[in-house]
Amino acid sequence: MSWASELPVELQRRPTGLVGLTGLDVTYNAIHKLIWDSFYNNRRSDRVPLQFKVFAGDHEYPKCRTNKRQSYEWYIPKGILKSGWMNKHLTMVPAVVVVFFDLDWDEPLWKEKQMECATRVEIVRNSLQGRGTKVAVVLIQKNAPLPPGEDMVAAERAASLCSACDLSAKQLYVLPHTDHLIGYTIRLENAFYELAQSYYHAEARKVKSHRDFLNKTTHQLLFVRHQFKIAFFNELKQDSHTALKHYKQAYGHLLDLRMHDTNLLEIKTIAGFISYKICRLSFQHTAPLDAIAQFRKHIDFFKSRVGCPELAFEHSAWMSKQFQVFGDLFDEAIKLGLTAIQTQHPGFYYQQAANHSISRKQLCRGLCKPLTQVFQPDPLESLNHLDFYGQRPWRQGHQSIEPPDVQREKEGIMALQSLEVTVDHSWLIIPLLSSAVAQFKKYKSPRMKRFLMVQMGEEYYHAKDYNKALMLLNKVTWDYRGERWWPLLTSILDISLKCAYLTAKVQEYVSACLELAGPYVKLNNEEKTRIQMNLTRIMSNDQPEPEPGLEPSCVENARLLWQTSLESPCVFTMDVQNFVPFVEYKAMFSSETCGADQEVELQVYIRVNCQFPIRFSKLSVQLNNAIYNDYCRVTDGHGISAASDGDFTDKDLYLVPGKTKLYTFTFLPVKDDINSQIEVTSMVLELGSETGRCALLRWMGGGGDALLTPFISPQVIGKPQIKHGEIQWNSVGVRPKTKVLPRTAKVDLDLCHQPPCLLNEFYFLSLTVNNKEDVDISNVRLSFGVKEDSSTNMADQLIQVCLDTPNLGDKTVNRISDIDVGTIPKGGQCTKKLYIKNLHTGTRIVFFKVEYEVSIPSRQGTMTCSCQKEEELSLNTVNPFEVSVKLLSMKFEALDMVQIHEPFLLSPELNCTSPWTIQMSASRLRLATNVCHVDKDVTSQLQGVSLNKSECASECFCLRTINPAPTAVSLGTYAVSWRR
Amino acid sequence: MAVCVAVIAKENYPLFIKTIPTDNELKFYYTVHTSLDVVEEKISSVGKNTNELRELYLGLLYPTEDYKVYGYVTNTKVKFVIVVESINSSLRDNEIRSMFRKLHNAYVDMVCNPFYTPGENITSQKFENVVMSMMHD
Repeated sequence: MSWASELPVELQRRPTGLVGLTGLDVTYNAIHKLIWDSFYNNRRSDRVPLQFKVFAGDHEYPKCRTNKRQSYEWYIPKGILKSGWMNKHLTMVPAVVVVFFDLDWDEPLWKEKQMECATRVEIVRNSLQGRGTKVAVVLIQKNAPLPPGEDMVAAERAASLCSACDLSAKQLYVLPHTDHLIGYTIRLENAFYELAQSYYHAEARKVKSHRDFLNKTTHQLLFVRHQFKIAFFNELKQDSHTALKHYKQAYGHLLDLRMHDTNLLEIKTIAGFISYKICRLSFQHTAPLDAIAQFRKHIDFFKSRVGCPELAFEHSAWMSKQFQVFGDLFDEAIKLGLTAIQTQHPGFYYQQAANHSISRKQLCRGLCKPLTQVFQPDPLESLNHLDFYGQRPWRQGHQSIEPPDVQREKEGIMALQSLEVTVDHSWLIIPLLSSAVAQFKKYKSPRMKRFLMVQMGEEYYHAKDYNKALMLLNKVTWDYRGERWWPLLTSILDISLKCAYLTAKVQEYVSACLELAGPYVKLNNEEKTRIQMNLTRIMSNDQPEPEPGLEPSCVENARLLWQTSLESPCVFTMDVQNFVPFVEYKAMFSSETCGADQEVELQVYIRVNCQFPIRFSKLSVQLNNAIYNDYCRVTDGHGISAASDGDFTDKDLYLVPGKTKLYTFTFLPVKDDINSQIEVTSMVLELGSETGRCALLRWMGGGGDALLTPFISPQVIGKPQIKHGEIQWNSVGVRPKTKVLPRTAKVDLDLCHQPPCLLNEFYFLSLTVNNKEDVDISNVRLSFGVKEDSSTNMADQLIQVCLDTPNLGDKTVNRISDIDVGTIPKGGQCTKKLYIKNLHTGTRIVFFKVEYEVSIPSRQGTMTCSCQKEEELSLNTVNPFEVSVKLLSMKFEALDMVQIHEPFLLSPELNCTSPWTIQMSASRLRLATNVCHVDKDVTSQLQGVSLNKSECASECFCLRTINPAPTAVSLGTYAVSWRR
Repeated sequence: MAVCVAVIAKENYPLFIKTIPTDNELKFYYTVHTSLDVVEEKISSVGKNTNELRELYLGLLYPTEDYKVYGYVTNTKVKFVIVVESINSSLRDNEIRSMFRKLHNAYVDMVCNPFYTPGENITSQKFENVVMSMMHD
């Protein structure tokens, strides 16, 4: 229905003044071609807004008629705006006609040439009879001009040419075709631009001057027309402010017109044009609020003016177009730098445009039908070439209130209706929605965007493009589900189901069924039962029944599609986090942790919330270690539609709505999993059979409440409650992980020692391993040493551990691992001697670890478990005694210094600080080279002495220095051997 | 007066939606749902700059051709949405405010019921009566 609402191209383009160029032979003359190109090409925004056209010298311009009319008294206008008028002034009536003429100032045959030029100007003038079009002459010259005032010949000849051609000096130009052609061109076109502006100004004034002749009774239409023309001429003149003013006046006059069904379309059409211009200019003047206000006013005025009820779809089409065009203008303004906001942006206008197109489609459905007869003559014959915009083709120019011919009017309406039937509305609606989606996405309105996508999906559905519809709808269902808007989700799924049916898409069909038959969807029970029955049919390789309300022809097509799809088996996986099926699942390990010798118990709870019982074919749980998967599987051998054999066992997968069914799986953890976690990675529930159709419903992790899937899984609070013999679903928690701990060792570690440890001694510890198991333990290994994290590297080297015998190797060893002890019989024990030598005082943590293997009976015979036990000991190391040394003279007087060769006494004193008695076995002085004993025979006086805590022992040596030595000398070292 | 009244939970799912009797209830559902875009935007833009008390009444949300959608958010982020017909232009801002106040009071009364768990759908007859009175005035 483009004829009533479409905006003509000439209205939408920016008006630019028209300049006609004559006398240019662009086909054969290279220089002329160059000149033309310099005008025509590269019209960037920095060039003056003009449009150039080449006309023949004797071109016939449109005739000018209005001038002849001296009086409007008897003139009755036939319409508001002639459809050819804008185009005429944009492309046919030039503001300026330029006559190009090859003529140099030094032309030898000057007189003849001047005559020829004057003739040409005359011809142009004649063909522009009655028009105010300006005429200018450009002389194309080979030579560059001399500076003004120097070329006397030129001045004289120019004056003579002007008078011969009846031109003012300002209308004669010279164009030397030298290297700087473009520079000359730009200067020329600026001059033409001025001429054009004055032409359009004069034209506008001319129209304005008619005003006085008009009267309000018969010339109402002319008020609009004249203001429109004035505005348009001002636009051509590039005076957009004045143009806007006159468009507004035109719009005001338009609203004053008397409106009735016969002329409403014309008024709306013109109103649309003028409003478009006003909005466009307002945006251009960066007054978007004015534009929006004008558009609002425009729509509010016309939205209830439907006109002829049989052609109500025309009104919707017009409304749609108004919104769409305004949306485009708005969007264009944004591209040029305007900022829009969330509640005011082009998206709203596109959305409304789409809505009006939708209502147009609905109106068309109700009103229109194809023609059954052919009318002679065809009332729509001149539909695409009307004299006036927006008039009925069968009664053009008619302005009376009643249609002139009632029968003809009826025929015309029927013809228009039949034309409307041929329009494919969906393809008008979808692009509008798509534009709106893009805008709402940009302005942070995700829900509106989704809503529009739903509308798009519905439209694709109506347009019978079911695949696209399904794809679009699938994109948004997740969000509606996530926000739990069930009524909206229901309506979307309903369409999805229909699309899936019509295209025989098994997976989509099954997923929609699984959800629509579930508890959250707002459908009545009969409907849900019907859907579930279809699900059962399809899973047992039958055709589903068609959805209600589909067109029979589409259903027939769908049946064929299903027929072919039934022939090949089809297995597909559906991830449950993508939809909310009527099955729910929770997995729970019976405890947080599990001993390595105990069986792991995994409980799987399943519940369905559909209308009638359903039988699944297989349940399988996948764990992070695939070894266990075989233990966690249930297969139901019966078909999907087999009834229950009565007993509600956990060997089949017959699920009754609302009842929670528990499947328990047990298995022993393998060695590799000790100290790590066993985790449920997924659970797959199969519906149907693998030879026919098989839907694999896959839950990730431990599942949870269907509703909460997009959110969080509930934690285990306690044991599931059982009321009246039924498991309460809500009390079931999810625990998808369990930790496998090593088996607790049943051995005792007895340590026997006497703390504290004394510095530098080999500290003795006796470690006894007692077997408390019921059986022998084998492969017993002992480890002991300094706990790593309690010692720095420095300390590592200051502690030595040894087994059985104390010894001090070259390197200190601070841990001994895997001392093989062999087998300890049941009830037996094994003792090991351990020594620790500590070269530093302070506290150390020492560990003792025993590892062993034990065979224990289990369901599958015996199994070997490895166990370990570790104990720690905090060992404090103290000094056994303190040593102080005194120097004495031979008279036992304290000395500060000794004389050379003079004997003196050295007396070490030991003060015992050990809690244990220590026994001295030897003591010895290792003297430096310049000191020697005075006595020949030196024996340790401390040998055999025992010291208790706080007791002192002292001995005395007589020494002397041998060689004269420097002031301070080292006397040597003192070594004491001792034991506790 | 109002053609649709809705109470939306903090998590944006509907707790209560009542519309005038119509063939196309779904349209109102969509209107309410899409208006949450603006509600969220308005809440988040206030939350950022100050911690001073936010006004509960959000004013006009979406201007659509046929309806006007108004919003109100309680301090616990429960949203109220009222849809009125655009033709009903005599309705002043003050009147809308007083409708919201009435709705809020009714909601508070309803939540005070010890048998109601917050977050559940609202089924209270008394609450519904208040809403009905707003739609029939």
